[in-house]
Amino acid sequence: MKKNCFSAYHPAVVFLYFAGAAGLCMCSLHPYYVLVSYLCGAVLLGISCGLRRVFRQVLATLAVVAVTAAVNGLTGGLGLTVLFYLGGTPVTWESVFYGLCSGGMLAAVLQWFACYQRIMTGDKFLELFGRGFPTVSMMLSMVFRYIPDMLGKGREIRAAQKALTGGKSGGKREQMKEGVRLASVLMNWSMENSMETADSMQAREYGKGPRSRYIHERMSRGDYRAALILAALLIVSAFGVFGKASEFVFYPFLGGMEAGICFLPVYGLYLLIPALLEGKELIWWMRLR
Amino acid sequence: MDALEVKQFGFTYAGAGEPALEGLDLNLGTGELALLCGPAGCGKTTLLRCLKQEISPVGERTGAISLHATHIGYVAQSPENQLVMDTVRHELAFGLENLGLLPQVIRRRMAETVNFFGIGPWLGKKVNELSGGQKQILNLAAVTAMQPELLLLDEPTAQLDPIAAGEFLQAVEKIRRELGITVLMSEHRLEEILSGADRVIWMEKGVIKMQGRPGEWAAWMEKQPLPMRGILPAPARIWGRLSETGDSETTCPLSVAQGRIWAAEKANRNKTFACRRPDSAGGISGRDSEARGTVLKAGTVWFRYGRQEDFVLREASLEIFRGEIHVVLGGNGSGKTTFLNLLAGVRKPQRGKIRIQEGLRPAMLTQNPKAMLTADSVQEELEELSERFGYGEKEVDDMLERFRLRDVSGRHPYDLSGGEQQKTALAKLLLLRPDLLLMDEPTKGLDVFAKRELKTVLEELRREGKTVLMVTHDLEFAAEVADRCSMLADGEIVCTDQGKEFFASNLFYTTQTNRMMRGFADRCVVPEDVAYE
Amino acid sequence: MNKILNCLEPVILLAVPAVLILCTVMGTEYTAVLTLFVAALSMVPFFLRFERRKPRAREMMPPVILAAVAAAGRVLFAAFPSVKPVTAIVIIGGCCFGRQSGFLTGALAALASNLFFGQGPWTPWQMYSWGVTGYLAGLLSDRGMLERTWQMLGFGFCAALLYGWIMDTWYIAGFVSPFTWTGALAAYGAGLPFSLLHGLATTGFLALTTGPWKKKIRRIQSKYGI
Repeated sequence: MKKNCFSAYHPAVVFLYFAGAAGLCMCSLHPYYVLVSYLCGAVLLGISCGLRRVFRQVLATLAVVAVTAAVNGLTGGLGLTVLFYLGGTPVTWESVFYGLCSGGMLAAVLQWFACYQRIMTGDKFLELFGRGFPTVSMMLSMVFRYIPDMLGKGREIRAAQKALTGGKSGGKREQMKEGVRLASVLMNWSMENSMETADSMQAREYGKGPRSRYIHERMSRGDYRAALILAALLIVSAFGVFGKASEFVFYPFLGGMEAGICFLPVYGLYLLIPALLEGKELIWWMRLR
Repeated sequence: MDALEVKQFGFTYAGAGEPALEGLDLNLGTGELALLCGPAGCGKTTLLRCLKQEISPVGERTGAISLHATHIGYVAQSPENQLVMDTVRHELAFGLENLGLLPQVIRRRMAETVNFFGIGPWLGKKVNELSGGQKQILNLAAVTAMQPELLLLDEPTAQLDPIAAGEFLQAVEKIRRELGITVLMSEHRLEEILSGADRVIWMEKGVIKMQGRPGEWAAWMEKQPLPMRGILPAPARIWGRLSETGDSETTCPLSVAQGRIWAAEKANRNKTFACRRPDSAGGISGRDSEARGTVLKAGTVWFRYGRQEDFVLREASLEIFRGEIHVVLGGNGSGKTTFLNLLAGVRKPQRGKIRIQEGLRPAMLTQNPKAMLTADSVQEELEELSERFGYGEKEVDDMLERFRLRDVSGRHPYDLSGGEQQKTALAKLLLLRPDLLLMDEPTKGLDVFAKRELKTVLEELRREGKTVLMVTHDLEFAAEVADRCSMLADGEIVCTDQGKEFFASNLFYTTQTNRMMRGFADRCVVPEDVAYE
Repeated sequence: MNKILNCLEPVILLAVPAVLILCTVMGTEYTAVLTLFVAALSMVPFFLRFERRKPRAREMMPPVILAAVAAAGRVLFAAFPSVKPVTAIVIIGGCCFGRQSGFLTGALAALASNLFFGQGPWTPWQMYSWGVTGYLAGLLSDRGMLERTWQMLGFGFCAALLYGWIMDTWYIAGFVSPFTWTGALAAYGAGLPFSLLHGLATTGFLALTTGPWKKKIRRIQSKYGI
């Protein structure tokens, strides 16, 4: 798994970027904006997870687009260009197109979340939100610790049961029962163990006095600079999205296609910043060679 | 000044009639390393917890404890359960955060700690990527970072393999030596730490029976009845068998090195050592066992966990004969557990064949007995499979009797001691009347007494004609019970030999007795073997 | 202070679906992002209240363990794709440890399992829905309304449907325009099989686990005093 060079930035910067990207994406139904967002998301996903992942993502999201287009078509809507009649209700081009756009938007959002998942890892998230919610974020960190632990224990218990009873696996019903029993044992076992964890916390003087917070990543000058640039681009793009692109209308006729087009390059630049950083780094290494 | 003074201390658990601790007197000097020993249930853990106010049990105290330490560190037995956070970095920071230190101070302390323990490479890891031994060292480091003046360690190596235990104990000694922190540690694996300790405190039934320098204690201990005596390292036991009037107690050797010096001295005084091996009771010699026929045969087995992974087992072959106790030895990561899982049919090998004799029923005891215990009481546990495997109340009753579990039959399995849990799991297994018993690391976490019981059970099983295959890295135990031993290394069975022969022909990977007596009486494997000519 | 918060909590939780419905019917712009934001925001007071309570170490563990079991359950039940034990586990958690722990169990389970298995805009909604499920379970069992098995099962089924309803409604609010009953029905119809399956699985899981789990948890509660 490659380390993305954008992920080296402070979690706050990374979060700002993704909040902006996903937020703006969810606010614009303008077909060009949706397209730009979708493509830039695909580029970032490709950089951080590889082409194969992009391919899978695209296939999965096509289904989302199709369903949304179909559902919207059925609403009949306020469009005037009738494509055909379905059981008496008119299916109009505008409503289908609305579905395509909103489906595309949902697909783009899903893609942004996939990138987010990859770059904004669990510990980064904790680093950022531990400030406001120290106890809850500590608990979340414990959940992270317990999940792999439980999966391991689950395998152990399964092996033990299999070795005990000779490994006959029954039908689906039997499997289901087995699964439920496994979950029971896991819960009981882990709950018991967790009391030891609680003791270990107490033994390390948890809850005795005011607690401080260890911060692993600090905002550096570079982080501030990046945050500033991102914020500037974000504001301009937001103006494009809310001020201009919203002039685009679906009903009764598609109209205002050219609205806000001049802001698209800024929007694209904002979304492509991690990709550009990656490119810059690539050139640096190429020159070294 | 003493770090710890305990005067006539007693403790009774809330709701219990009998006191758990009674009339304890104990002083620990600053910088001392004291070992707290005694059979399971003697009150070691209770005492340690009473000393650590934050986790002290609820109950009635008598007498006085005065501590001259502002911070007390506490490390318990289980490496996993003590970890709180999900990454090594945050785990180290956790205690320091609780002290309310400033972030820059925490950074500095962490950097110091990491250097002291040499755990830099782990810093960015998730805790569940660490091995058990690494986890326990992390626990120790996290506690040490908080600058304790007194460290309480409750059987910290019980769950570790010998190599990891050695590393952990070295870290403890380093803390004591270089930082002068007072250490009170309960422990039953004494080979490595005994010679470095300043004092041993021996407890029985909540009372301190004896405390003194390790040599004095070992000499005293040597006069105790056998199950207790078993806790001593082999050199001390050999010394105890062979010492004569005129040997002062201070000469009692506590490690292999000291033992060799002692043996060389004896040799200089014209004593000759010899190997007197008592007939292994009920054991089977080589030709005998072959004649009984093969129970299980694994032929050139290859196995790996995934298509991209390395092979864990490569050409592992093994043949097991009816009625023998076969021990497979091997270090960490040699594939022992994997091999056992294959033999038990939990997984299938990619290449090679495992043939179990027709009509034979194998059953496996897992490393952690808790994985086999799923019911809410010992009784229910044993009855759980009665319908499926056709046994009744009488068999369950007999089993409770046989393993002396009747007193605890109503208790929840998790409320039992480690030894009792294992007995319950074993009882559950034996109710299925298996002919071939596979055991994974059965001595893990057991003290000498529980090991002794396990040995008795194994001998009984052998007498009943059952076959036992055990994988372990407990060499001393293997030497005592094995009819035949195999060594698994690098994914293959490197050699198989008769039990004692196996250890006599190994150089490093052998019992303490064998290492100590090398050159004096080469074939000795257990302390009982050693005698004068 | 606590009394006021106790009364306020249900109001805050109810506000979310209210906003959702309002936005849908009125056809507001940017509904998707707006409602998502409201859902995320509605949880803040709960977390803050838990922070202010300064829980003891032992009190912190049950929600952690239940959330981890719930998340791990998604892997353990991989053979049955639509069976997620989360809802059932959260209900038991709320029942045994009270509404605050119940809410936290649900929210943590959602957040953790998504961080593990894939983030999406559904994350805040799952956190919200499962949080509410746990909260309600705690509230109802405080009033003694979840004593009997059938009550548990019924509640489990309803909670699962509620979960589906919230997700579907957000989808309609954000991505279907203009709002018409035909469209809404089509969207709900598409989601219904999943909701029903989820409901049945939750009921089934509850039927198998309620008794034994409550017993196991009570034992640990009395043993460790939580």
